[in-house]
Amino acid sequence: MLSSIWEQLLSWLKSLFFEQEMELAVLGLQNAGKTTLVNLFATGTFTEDRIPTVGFNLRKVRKGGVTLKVWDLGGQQRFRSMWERYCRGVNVIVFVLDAVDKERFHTAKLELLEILQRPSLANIPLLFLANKSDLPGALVNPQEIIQTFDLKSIKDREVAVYSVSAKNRTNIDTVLRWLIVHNKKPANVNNQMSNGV
Amino acid sequence: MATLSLGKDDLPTIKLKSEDDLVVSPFLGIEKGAVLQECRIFNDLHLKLRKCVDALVRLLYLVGQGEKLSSSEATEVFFSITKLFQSNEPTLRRLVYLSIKELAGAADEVIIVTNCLMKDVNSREDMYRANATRVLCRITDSQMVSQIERYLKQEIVDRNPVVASAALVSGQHLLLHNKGDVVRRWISEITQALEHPSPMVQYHALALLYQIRQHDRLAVSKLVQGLARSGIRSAFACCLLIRCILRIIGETSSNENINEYRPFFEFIESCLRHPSDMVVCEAARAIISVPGISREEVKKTVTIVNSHLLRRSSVVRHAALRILNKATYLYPNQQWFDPFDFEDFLHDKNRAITTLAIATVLRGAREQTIEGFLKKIQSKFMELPDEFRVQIVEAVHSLVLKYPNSYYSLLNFLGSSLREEGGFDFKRAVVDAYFSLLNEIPQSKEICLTHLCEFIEDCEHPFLSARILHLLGQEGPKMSQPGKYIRYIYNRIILENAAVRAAAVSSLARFLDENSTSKTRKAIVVLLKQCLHDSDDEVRDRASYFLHQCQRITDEENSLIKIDEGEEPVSSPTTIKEFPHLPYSLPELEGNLVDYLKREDFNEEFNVVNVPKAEKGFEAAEQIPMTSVPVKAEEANMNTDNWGNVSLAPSQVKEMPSWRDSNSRLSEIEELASLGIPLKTSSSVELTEPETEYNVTYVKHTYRQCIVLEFIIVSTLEDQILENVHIITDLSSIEGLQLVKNIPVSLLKYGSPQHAFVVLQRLEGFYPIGDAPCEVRYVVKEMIPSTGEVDERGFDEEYKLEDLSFGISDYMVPLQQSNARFKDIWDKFGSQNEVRETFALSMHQSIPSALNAVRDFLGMTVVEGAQVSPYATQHVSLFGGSLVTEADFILVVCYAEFVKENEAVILNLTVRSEDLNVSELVCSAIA
Repeated sequence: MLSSIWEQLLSWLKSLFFEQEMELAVLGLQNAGKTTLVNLFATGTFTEDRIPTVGFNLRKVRKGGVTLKVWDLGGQQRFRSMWERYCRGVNVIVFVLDAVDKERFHTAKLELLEILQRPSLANIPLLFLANKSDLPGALVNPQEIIQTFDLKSIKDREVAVYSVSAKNRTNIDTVLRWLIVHNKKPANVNNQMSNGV
Repeated sequence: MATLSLGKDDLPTIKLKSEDDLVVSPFLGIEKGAVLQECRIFNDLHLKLRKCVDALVRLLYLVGQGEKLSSSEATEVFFSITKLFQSNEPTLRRLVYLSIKELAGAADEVIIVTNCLMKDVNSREDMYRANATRVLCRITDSQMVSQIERYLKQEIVDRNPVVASAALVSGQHLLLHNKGDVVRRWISEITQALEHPSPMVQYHALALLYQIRQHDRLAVSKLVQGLARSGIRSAFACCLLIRCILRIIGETSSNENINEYRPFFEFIESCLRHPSDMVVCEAARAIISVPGISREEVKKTVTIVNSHLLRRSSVVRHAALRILNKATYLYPNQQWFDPFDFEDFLHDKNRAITTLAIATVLRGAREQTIEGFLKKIQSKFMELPDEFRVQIVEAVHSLVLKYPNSYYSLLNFLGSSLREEGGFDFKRAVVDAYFSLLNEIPQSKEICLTHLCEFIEDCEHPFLSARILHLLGQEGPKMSQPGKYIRYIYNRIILENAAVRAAAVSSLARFLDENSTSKTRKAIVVLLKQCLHDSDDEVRDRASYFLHQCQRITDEENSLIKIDEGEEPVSSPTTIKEFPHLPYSLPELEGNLVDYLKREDFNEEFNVVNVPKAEKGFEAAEQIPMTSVPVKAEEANMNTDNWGNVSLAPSQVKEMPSWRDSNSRLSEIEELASLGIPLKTSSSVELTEPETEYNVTYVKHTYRQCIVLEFIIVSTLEDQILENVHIITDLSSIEGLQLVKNIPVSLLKYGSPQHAFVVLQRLEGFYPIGDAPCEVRYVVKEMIPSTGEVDERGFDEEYKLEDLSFGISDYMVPLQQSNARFKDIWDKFGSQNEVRETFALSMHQSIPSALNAVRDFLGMTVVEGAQVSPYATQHVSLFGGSLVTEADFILVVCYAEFVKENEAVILNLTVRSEDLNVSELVCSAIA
C-alpha cells in the first residue's frame, strides 16, 4: 500500500521534470481513415485526405503534457507484413476500422488477430476504433463490434473499443483522454473491457 | 640466431614509425556485428542524436568498404533507420538518406519510406528536397513511379538548381533501371530546364534528353542542331554535345551524308576556340576521329592541340598528349610532331605524362630515329614505376611488329629491361613480348632465346621460369646449337625450386628427338639419371618417365637395326612426347591410381582400360590458350599448389574411386548387360547430407531408350545390417519416364558400399525434365558388432533422400567436332530452325561460373570460348552437343553470349539444330 503511494509520488515528480512521451502505432485496412484520424489528433481539424499512405507517416502530437509519437502505417496489402516492425515497443496499438465497409470486416479481423498473436507484441494494450460512425449503415454498437470481431477472445492484453467519427469529432476527445490516462497508469493485464458510446 | 638479433634491431624502428604517424583511422577495428548491434539504438523511445549519427557513419563506412550485409541483416537495420525520420536534425537526416541509398539494394520492402520521402520532397528545405528526390527514385519500383511522377516533374522546372538537377539525374537513374517509362513524358519540362540559368541544370537536362532520344536519330539531330545554333553555357554540356554529334556522324558512313552534317562539324570546329580547355580537347579528339576527314583539318587541329601541350595543368597536358597519341595511331604515316620536342616531357614530374609521351613517340617514330630515341629514354625508363613500364614495353612490342627489320635494337632494349629490377607484371609483359616476337619474326628467334636463357639464370618468378623452360623445350631442339640450351636448362635443375626443376626436366627430355645426335642423347640420359635422386617426387617421376621412354626408343631402334641388318640404321620415328595426350579424364585416372595403391596388391597390374574415357567437353575446357600460359598443361600434372589452380579438388578425389569401372559393373549384371554400353555417364550426385546414418550417391547412365540410375549406398551404423535395400522413386510429376526394373541390394553391411539400380524407360519422343522425390526402403536387423550376432526380427524402414533431377544434359552427348566445322553446321541448319532467348542468371556473379553452369546444364561441349577471365564483362561461347534419339543423334549447336550486368549475368542464347522442336526443347530447358 505504502509502496504504491510512493510510486505514484515518484511518477508525479518525474512528470514535473521530464516530459511524458508515448508511442502509438495506428493500423488497419486501407481507407479506414487512419491518416485522417492522426491529422485530427495533431491539428484538430478534419481534412478529407484521399491519398493513400505509401509506407508510413510519423506525427508528433502534444496533448495534456504528453507527447504522442504516432506511427501511422499504410493499410495496403503490401505494407501489412511490416506493421509488426513499427508496433514493437509502442505503448498502445490502435486498430482503425472502416465501420461501413462490412465486406472487409472479415479481412480486418484476420489481420488484427494475425498481428496480435506476434510474441513480440504480447501485452501491448489494444485500442479498437470503429471509424466513420457518422455514415449511415455504420456499425456503431460497441457490443456488436465486440461480438463481430470476437474481441472477448483476446485475453492477454487490455482492449478498449470506441465508435468514433473523425468527421463529426464524435468521441475523439474521449479517445484522447483514454490514451493520456492510459500512459500515466502502469499497464496491467486484467482483460478489462472499457466501452464508450 | 641471426633472425633473432635481426628481430631485435627491427623493433625500435617499428615503434618509432608508429609514433611518427599517430593519425589512426577512427574507423580502425570496426566490425559488422558490433555496428549492427549499435544500430538498435534507433529503435529507442528517446533518440540520442549524437550516438545515432555515430552509428550511421560507422554503418556507412562498413558498407562503403565493401562489407556485405545479408538480406535479413540489411532489412533489420533498414527498418530501424526508418524510425530516424522522427528527428528533423539535418545532419542525421542526411545520413539517413545516404544509408537508405546504400541499403536499398540489399534490404527488402524499402518502399516503406516512400511516404516519408514524399513529405521531404514537398518540404521547404531545398537540401531535403534534392536529397529526398534522389533517394526516392532509388527505392521506388515501376508501380510506384507513377505516384511520385507529379513531384519530379515539378522539380525539374524548379528555380533552385540543386533541386532541378537532382530531379533530372533521378530521371536518368530511373531510365537506366527500366523504371522510367514515365520519364519519356517529361520532354517539355526537360526542354524548359535546358533554358535554366544554371549551367549544371543545362548539362543534366541535355544528358537526360539525349538519353531519352538516343535511339531516335532524327530527334537527336534536331536537338543538337537547335543547341548548336543557340549556344550553350555549360562546358560539360558542350562536351556532351560534341560526343552526340560524333556519334551521329559515326553512324553515317557515306561521304554525302557528312556534308549533310556540315553545320554540326562547324560547331565542333568553333569549339576549338572555346575558352575551356576541356571543350577544346573534346572537340579536337572528335575531329581527328571523324572518319574520312581531310588531312588539312587534322593538321589544323593538331596544331591547336600542340599549343595545349605547354599548359600548366597536367590534366590538359595529358589530354592533349592522348589526342596526339590517337592521331599517330589513326594516321600512322604522318609525322605529327618532332620527337625532340618531347624531351621536355621526359622530365615532366607527372609520370603518366612521361609514359604517354614515350609511348606516343614510339608509336609515331620513324625507323631511322628509333635507336637514338630508345637510348635517350633508357635511363628515364628505369625510373618509372612498373605499370608505366608495362605500357612502354607494349609500345616497343608493337613497334617491332611495325618495323621488323630494326628488331635488333628493339630487342636490345627489351633485353636490358629484362635485366632491370622490376615486379612480376613488368617482367611478364617483357616475356610476353618475347614470346610473341619469337613467333612473328623468325629471324629473331636465336636472340630471343638467348635473352630469355640469360633471364632465367636470375629469375625470381617460378611462373615465368617454367614458361620459358617450356619454350626452350619447344624451340631449343630446332636451333643450330641445341647444346647451348641444354646447359641453361640443366643449370635450373641444379639451382631452382621443385616446380621449376620439374619443368626443366620435361624441357630437357624434349631434346631427345629424332634430330638429336647420339652424343646429346647420351648426355641427356646422364642428366636425367641424376634427376632420379632429386628430393622432389614430381621431378623424380618425370625423370624416370622420360628415361623409360628413352629406353623404349633405343630398344626399338636396336631391334630395327637387327632386322635391317647390313643397312643404314634408321632413326626411329617415335619421339618423346612430353606427356602423351591421355584419353582419360584425369580426376578419374588419379582416383583409380590412388585406389590401386591403397589395395597394395601389386601382383596384379594396374588396368588402364577400366578408367572411363574423358568427355570431350571436359578437355576442351581444360585446354589453355598458348598465348597466355603455355606451361599450364605441365602444372596440371605437377600437382604443386604454387599456382592455386592445379587440378583436383580433394572432395572429388575422395568420391571418385567408388565410381570406378562402373561400366564393367553394368555389364556384370545380367539385366543391364543387354542394354550395351551407355552413351554417357553423368557425374555423381550426393542424395544425403554428409555424416548421416546412410550415404547415398548416384549417377545416371544414358542409353538410347532408357536411363539407368546407379545408386551407391553406404551404411554408417555398425550395429545394423540392412536387407532388400531398394530405391523407390516417384515419377508421377515427370511425364515420359516409366519404371522398368528395380535391382535391390540384398544385403548391406556396415562400411561396405553396395550398388542398387533403377532402370527407367524413356517414352518415344519425350525428353523428361524435372525432379522426382526418392527414398530408400529396407529391412533393418539389429546386430551386435563385436560378436556379429544378428537379431532375426527385422522391421521395415524407409529413409528419405534428396530429389533426383533430370535435365536436358541427361539426353545430350557432347559433340566431338573440330572448331572449323561449327560454322558449317551453324549455316547448314539455317535460321529457320533457330530459337533465341534471353536469360538472367542471377545466381552467377561472374561469367566463368555462368559459362560452366550452362555447359553442365546443357551437357554440351564448349567448342570455342571455353576460357574467360573472371573479370570479363562480355563473352561469347559456342556450344555443341548431340541429342540422343531412339535411333540416332540430333546435332544441336548454340551460340551463347554472356553479358555481365550489375550482380547478374545475362545470357543471350541462340540455338540451332536439325529440328525446330529440338531447338525449342533445348532453349526451354534452361528456363
